[in-house]
This record gives sequence, structure tokens and C-alpha cells, in this order.
Amino acid sequence: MRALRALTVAAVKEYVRDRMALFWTLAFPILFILIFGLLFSDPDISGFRVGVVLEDPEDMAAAGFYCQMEAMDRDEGGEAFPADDRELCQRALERAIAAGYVSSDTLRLRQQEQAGSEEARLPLYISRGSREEVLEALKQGDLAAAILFPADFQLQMGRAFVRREPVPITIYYDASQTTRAQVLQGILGGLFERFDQMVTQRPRILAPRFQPLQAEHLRTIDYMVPGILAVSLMQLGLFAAGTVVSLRERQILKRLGATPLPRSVLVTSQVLFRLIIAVLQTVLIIVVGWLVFRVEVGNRLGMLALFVFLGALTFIAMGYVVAAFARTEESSVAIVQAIQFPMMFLSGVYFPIDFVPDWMQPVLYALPLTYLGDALRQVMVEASAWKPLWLDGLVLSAWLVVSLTISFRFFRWE
Amino acid sequence: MSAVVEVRDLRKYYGEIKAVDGISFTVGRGEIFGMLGPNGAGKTTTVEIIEGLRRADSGQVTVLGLDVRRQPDAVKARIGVQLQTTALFPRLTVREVLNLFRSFFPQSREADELIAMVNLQEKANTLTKELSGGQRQRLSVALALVNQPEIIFLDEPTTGLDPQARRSLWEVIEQVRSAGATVFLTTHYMEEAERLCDRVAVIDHGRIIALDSPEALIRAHFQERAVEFEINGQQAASFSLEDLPAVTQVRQDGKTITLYTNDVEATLAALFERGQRTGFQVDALHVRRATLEDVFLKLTGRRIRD
Repeated sequence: MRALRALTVAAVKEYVRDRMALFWTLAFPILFILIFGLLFSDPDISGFRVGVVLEDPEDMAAAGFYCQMEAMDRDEGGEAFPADDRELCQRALERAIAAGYVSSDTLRLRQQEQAGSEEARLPLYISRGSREEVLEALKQGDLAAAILFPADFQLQMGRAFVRREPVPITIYYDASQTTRAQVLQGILGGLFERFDQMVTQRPRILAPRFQPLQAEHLRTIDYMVPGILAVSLMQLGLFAAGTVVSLRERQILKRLGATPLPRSVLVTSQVLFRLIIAVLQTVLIIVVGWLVFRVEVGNRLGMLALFVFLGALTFIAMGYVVAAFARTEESSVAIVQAIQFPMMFLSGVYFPIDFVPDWMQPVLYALPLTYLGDALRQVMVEASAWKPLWLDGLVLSAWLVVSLTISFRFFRWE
Repeated sequence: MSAVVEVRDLRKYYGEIKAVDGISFTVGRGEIFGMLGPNGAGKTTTVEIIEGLRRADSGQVTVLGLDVRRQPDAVKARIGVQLQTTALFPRLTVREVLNLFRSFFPQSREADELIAMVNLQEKANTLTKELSGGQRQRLSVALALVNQPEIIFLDEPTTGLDPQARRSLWEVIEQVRSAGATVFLTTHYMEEAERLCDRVAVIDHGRIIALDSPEALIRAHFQERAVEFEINGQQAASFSLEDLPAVTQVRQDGKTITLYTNDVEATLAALFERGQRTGFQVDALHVRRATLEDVFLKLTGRRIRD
């Protein structure tokens, strides 16, 4: 017992003093989370800057719509362009009332909306500028969209009533930001539908509500964090090969063999040490995931611990298989890389399993990392199951047993 | 003198190679016993069989009255071992490695005591990877002393060390013996064997070709003194010196010629006389006692370092 504790403590001390090992097992996964989190972060849809171009500011209808949007948007002044349109809006309103386009009812409604809570407002920041200014700002990415009201807008509106032809309004947007563009299209579509109703005074009858089927609202980063944990555990386990081979190569195993220390105690200490680091990695990854990206890890901590240990043990056993066949530390590192890189990219840890082409699916079904990743995703972020947990556990256990058998059979101490 | 190691007719073959080919000897309690021979002579294989690290093909090894093959752990608990490679846990300090090894034994010396025994006080808290070669060797001797062993085995303890580090390790080994342990060491340094060992087994091609105290070995093979010199002015090979008075044997090794003689004065006078007559000069001349090196040369026809 004393020897086991001393050997484990010694292994931990050696590890803590090895900057390279610290980097690869602790700093690297964290860096990965940060990089992936930033690369795949879901777009900010809490607010869009939209520029409005009034080709003719004196066009009452266009000015009216613009002022309406201005009233419903999120900001209290602080515009992208310095135009102070209070006067313009006041005039447009007066004229609209005088012409009978806007009833005092609508006005009251508008005032209510204005007084309403922040939530009732549209997630837009409306500002006005010249055509050139606005399109340039759109190109620069300062604006998410630009709405163009043509010079004869009021006239076209008049015609539309008579001919029953809709008036086209051009909206420029940046199509490269797919998700943001989709959300923005929805918001602006709804806005103009509302204006339509306002103008035609027709009540709205059907009100669709979109509700996602899954209870989960998983972001990319929520998928990534369990995957990164799975990969870290894999590396931690496989790297056992290098450590053991170097102990053998430098004849430390032989030197220990010249003492009464049982080999089982030595092996146990090495495994214990790796499990301690596995716990450290898990805690660190979960804490960073939560602090930086608010990735919530459910309360199935027992299951989480079970799979972390099972995964770590399986990959440590695979590391010992490598150590059984590698003669030098360098060759063990090469073998480990040859195992871990394909596994990393074929096991659906970084990319959804469906992305892997069909002809490669059998490989994916064979890899232990696939099952560890699946299990950790289910246990940590309540992702929908690829395979039931018991099957994940079974496949990992099978790999563990097979690896142990091979390493017991072929491992050489000298 | 009771025997602490008894080896009888030990054999170990690796395919065609007879690493150990029928070796027998005993080591007495409290002596420094040396096994001297060139690289590949079978020294390490023999030692590692005695330590229980390898199995012999045949033969009997008894250590402290225990059969190594049957009770390896009981033997390991009572001996101390230093391997030829002294790589250790590179990122542990001297004290940490000692304490780690102490945990393998039920009874052990204190780390500070061990550190003092090998004069590493100043390096107690240094990582082993930062130690010099000599310091590392001393640490590995300290590790061999952790369990207060009755016998300590040192496999080429001073190989690769500079003369000063070598001398300092010799002192440590002599202290270990004065503290009551038996020391079993292998070496291919003649000087080391002569200086340290009470008895030396000269081993070549897996066989012991001579076994006695260094003085007895030298006396048995050489009553003579050795006259060593170099020659200028004439091809050394082109004339004979064997007919000089009192010379028993002539050896030539490159430019260096060694004459073994029973009468140094007569030989030297004749040597200079012949030099004047035939036109060569004697250079770098010195006269010395015969050494184990000479014994080895006589027994095997080879120098040990080749």
C-alpha cells in the first residue's frame, strides 16, 4: 500500500513537472474548446442594424413607414448616421393624419407599443442615410440589411390600391451570414406584414407559431465540449504507451524489478495516476465550458463519472497494447498518432456522425471513441442518443477486455 | 569466511552465443569481489542471474543461503542492485527517488543517511535529470543501499566517469564495505580492480580464466618488471629484442614496446647499447611493476579495452 501510494505520487509529481505533458493533457483541450467555441459560436440574433434609404424624404408614405420602424426599434437615439429625424417624423405623421391614412387609433396603438416593455420591441436598430452611405455601411458589415424606399413610393402605393399589384420594396442583405440572414428575413417579413395590415386595415386571422420538436436547444459548443472531453481521455490513455515504453527503454522497469516490488503494484500506480489526471481534465473542461460558453452539464454526475473512468481505462488498456508492440518511445508515439488521428475525425466527436460518408460508417461503428463521445454527450448535455447508454458502455467494455487480454499476452518487461 | 554468494557451473546461451559458459565461484562475506573482463565477456549476464533478473539455462546460484531461482523476492529484499544504465525518474529529486525506493522495502535507511553516504547533500533537492554522470552514479549506489543490503552488486559503476568522479565513487564503495556489506562489482578497468578488489575473477568469453587477489594474480604470472618505451629512427618490427639479457617476453602495441624482464638494469644497459649500435633512440621510457592489464594480456593475448 505504501509503495502504491509512493509510486502514484511520484508519477503525479513527474507529470506536473513535465510542461509538455501538462500542455497536451490540460492546456490543449482548453485551447480547443476556446477555438472551437469561437469558430462555431452561434450567431448573435439579439439585434440587427438596419439602414433605411428614403430616395425622397418628402415622400410621406415612405417617411411614415420609416418613422414607424424607428418607433418600434430598440434604441433610444444613438444612430449609425447623424440624421435627426424627429422633425421629419412629426411632419410625416401630421400629414398622414390629415390625409386620413393614419387614424388616431393607430396613433394610440403606436404610443402603447412605444411605451411597452423592451421585449415588445423588434430586435432592430433602425437608422437612415443616403443610398451611398447605407450601401457602403452594408458592405463594411456595419449594417445587416438596407431597405430602399423609391422616390415615388406614395404614388406606387396609390396605384397598388387600384390595380391590386403589390409594391416591391428592395431589401439588401449580407447573404454570407446564413443563419443571421434567415432570422433577419423572418423579422423584416413579419414587420412588413404588419405594415400591410396597418394599411389595408384587414385583421390577421392565422397566426403560426414555430416550436422545435426537441426539448433540447443544443448549440454547436454544447456538442463540442463532451467531444473534446472524449478526445482528451483518449489521448491521456493512449499516451500511457509512451510513458511505459520509456520506463522500459531506460531500464527503470528493470531496476524496479530488482526490488521486491510486485509488478501489479507498479501497473496499478500507473493506472491510478492516469485516472487522477482524467478527473482533473474532466473538471477543468466542464468548468471552462461553463464559465466561457455556459455549457450546462446536467446532474447525472454518477453516470458521467462512470463513463469517464470506463473511457479512460479502455484507452489506457489500448495504450498498453501499443506499449506491448513498440520497441522505442519514438515508435510508440508514431503508433499512437496513427491510431488517434483517424479516430478523432471518424468518430463523430468533432463532426456529427452523419457527416461521415456511408462507406466509412462501418469504421465508425467499430471505434471506441464514437461510443465514448455518444455516451458523454448524452450524459453531459442531454443530447439525443445515437445508441442507448448501455450499448455505449458495452462496446467500451468489450474494447477494454480485448485490449487487456492482448497486453497481458504480449507485454514485455524488458 | 562464510560464503554469501555461491555459483556452480552457471550457463546461459543466447542461440549460438555462449554468454556464460560454465562459471563457478564463491564470494565471501565482507569482501570486495570483482569480475574483470572486456565488454561482452559475460559479466553483466552473470551478475543479473545472481540478482534474480535473468534465468540461467543451468547451474546453481545461492545467495545468502537462498536459491535465487526459487526465492527471488527473498533474495531481492536482502541485496542492493546497481544496473549498468542508471537512468532514473528524471523529474524527481534525489530525495524523492530515495524515498520512493524506501517505500518498496519494509525496513530502510533514512534518506538523509543515504544522501550523506554518497556525498550528495548539496544535490538532495535537485532533479535527477540535472545531475552530472558521477552524481547520478552515486545516487544509483545510494539506491542500492536503501534496504541496508548484506550484498551490494555494482555493474560497471565507474564506466564513463572522469578520473575524479571515479576516485570519489571508489571512496564510497570502500565505505560501504567498511559498513559491513559485501561488494560484488564488475569492471573493465584494471586500475579499479587492483585498487578496490580483495579478489578478482578474470572473465573472457563466458569463462573464468583466473581468480585470486590482484597481487597474487600478478605474482603468479609475472615475477618480472615491465619496461615500456617507444622507438625513434628505425622500424621497430625490423629487429628483435628478445635476445636482450633477462628478457622473458616482448610485446608490441603500435609504437609502444613492452619488455618483461627479471633484471631491469641489465636489460636497460643492453637496450641502450643496441640502440647506439643499430641507430635508434629510446623515447618515453618507463619501468613499472606488472599489472592486471599484463596478466590479462598474457592470458588472452588481447588488451582488455579492444
